[in-house]
Amino acid sequence: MPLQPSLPPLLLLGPLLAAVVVYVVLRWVVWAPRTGSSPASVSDHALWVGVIGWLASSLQGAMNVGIIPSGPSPVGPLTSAGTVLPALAWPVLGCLTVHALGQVSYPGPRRMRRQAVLSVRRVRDFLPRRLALTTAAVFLTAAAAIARTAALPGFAAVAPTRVSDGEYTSFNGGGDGRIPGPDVALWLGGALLVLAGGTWLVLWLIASRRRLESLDTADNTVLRTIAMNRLLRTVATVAAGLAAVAGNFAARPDPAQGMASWGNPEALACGVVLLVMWGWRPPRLAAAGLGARNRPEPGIAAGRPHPAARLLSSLGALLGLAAAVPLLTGAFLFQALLAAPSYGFAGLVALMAALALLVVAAGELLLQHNYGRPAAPRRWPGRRVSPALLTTAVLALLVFLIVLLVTALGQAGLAEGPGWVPSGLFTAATCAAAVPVLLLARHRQGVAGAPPGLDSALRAVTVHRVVRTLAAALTAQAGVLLLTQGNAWASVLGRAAFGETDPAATTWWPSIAAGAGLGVAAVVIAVIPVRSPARPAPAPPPGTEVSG
Amino acid sequence: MTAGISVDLDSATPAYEQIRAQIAALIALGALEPGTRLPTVRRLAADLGIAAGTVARAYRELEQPGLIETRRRNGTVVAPRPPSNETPAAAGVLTGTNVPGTVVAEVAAAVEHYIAEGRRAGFDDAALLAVLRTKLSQQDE
Repeated sequence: MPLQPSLPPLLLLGPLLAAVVVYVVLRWVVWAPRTGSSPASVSDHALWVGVIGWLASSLQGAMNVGIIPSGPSPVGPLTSAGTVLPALAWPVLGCLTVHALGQVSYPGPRRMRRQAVLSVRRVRDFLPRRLALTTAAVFLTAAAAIARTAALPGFAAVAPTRVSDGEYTSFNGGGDGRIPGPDVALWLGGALLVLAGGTWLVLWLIASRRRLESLDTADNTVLRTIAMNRLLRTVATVAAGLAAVAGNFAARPDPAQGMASWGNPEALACGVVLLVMWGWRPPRLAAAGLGARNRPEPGIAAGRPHPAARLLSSLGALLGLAAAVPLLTGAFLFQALLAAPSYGFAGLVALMAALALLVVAAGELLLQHNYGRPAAPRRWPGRRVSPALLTTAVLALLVFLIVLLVTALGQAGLAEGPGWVPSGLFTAATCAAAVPVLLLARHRQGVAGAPPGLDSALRAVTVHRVVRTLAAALTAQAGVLLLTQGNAWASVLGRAAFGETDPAATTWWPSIAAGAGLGVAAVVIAVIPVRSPARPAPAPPPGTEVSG
Repeated sequence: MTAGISVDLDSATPAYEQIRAQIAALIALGALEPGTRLPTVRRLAADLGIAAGTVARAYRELEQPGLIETRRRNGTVVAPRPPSNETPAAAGVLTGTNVPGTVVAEVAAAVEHYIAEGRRAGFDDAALLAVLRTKLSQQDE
């Protein structure tokens, strides 16, 4: 199956831009402009690398590699090099690139006194052994599943037979076809090899990159292990995903033989791997977690935090649940949402945002009920939202408005129905829903007996969460418009603008790529961490070592 | 126990000399055993955030008296000690004399004791060095 002799130049621009954005984001997280690099910012950076890398590793778009659809499908068949290669390359190279960028985004030494350890660092010095062995087992199992597909024959798709009794119409029989197994094994096996080789390279990069001067030797060692942990967990899920793709291919029955039901046990195994890797926590930096080697952060009173602060902190998990439940439900109802693209996905995003705002509002009401007193002073924080988050929110609003406008123009030009209207209405409703939450935070009774600054800090946390939710919702809605109304964009910008040469294409890949990118950005924005009410401590000096 | 070095870019002493002296001291104190592999020039330079040529010069100056060896396959390693009770040129490079190995071990133990007591008393590195320099200058008078 020959590769295209030339790639549209803009095909590489998307990944390059994405890499630049990811690098800038990671650099901003670890550098923490106000306080400089610290154990806390380094710990946040490691978390962000893991989250972004996991987001980039989704193989959802490649599940039907090698399958010939029996009827029209919203996305084209993944049966040629031009379609299979991007579907596999994005998750495999994407997650590896994110982890590599995580390593190169650490700042260089700035202090005049530099330190180094006189030892040769090898991958095995930091490798979490049990996790590495488990990952290797997943890779071997995936290789076996892929190798199995090489022996499978291909067969043609059979269109379902239309049966009508005059009143009702139904479709019987038929089924998807598939290309010959060796072709699929070649693609999936190549992806697995690239994943394995890339994993080893990134592990080497983790072991060999310079140490961080804001951490002592022990925490520098732990940080490398943390990075390896997150990398191995991500690539294990990708390898399991490749096995699920192979299983999806192998399980398809030949429609000419009349069999209809089939199952994909590899997908179940992939789900198990995902859950296991999800729960396989990395170690923590002692300096970031107020461990024995660390001084306590200034501004935090010795002893337990105030119950009101604990209550607000505990909402973080509920917020995640509030967003995850509709998302998982949407995954099960994917086909139904596809049938109503103009308001299905937009409604799902609005529902997720509304539930998150509901959780935030409930938190404020609980704070007032449990700890509020009419006589306690109400302190409105001077700076409610960090400049970075505010900028992000403004940018998200601008992007959404531009996308909405262009979509409206495009649909008017195509004389299509106004598919942009539901998205606009849902977004407006989300913004309106945020207003009472902000008013609640503004007028809530003060917390009685709180340490100085805590009451205003709690209000600032609520405002941060509301602004973050709005920014993520706006970005996600813009992404939904691009994903579902790509033809409108093609009519405005010209279908051939980014190298699209297929006149029969029913979708426009640049808008799909941009929409997917905005979707990822929305998830990243939604997990921007809230700073603790206390200011972060300056980086502690590294611990002493034997030195000359 | 990890052997580490530090380079003060504000110091009047050139960086390569600080690296050379500290590695020589670590070898003399036994913190770097013979056969211990040292990081490559580029790796150590990257860790310290200084030019590779600076580290290369320090390694060359350690190779000349035979403190370290560069082997093709195994990189740079600490040279084996000569089969005598005297320390190799490490302590001699530092002190200009031949120092028995047992004395070096006693000095190393005394230094560790001094550091431990100083930490218990709440002294930081600068204070410990200042006390040492004061005592040394008093003895020189």
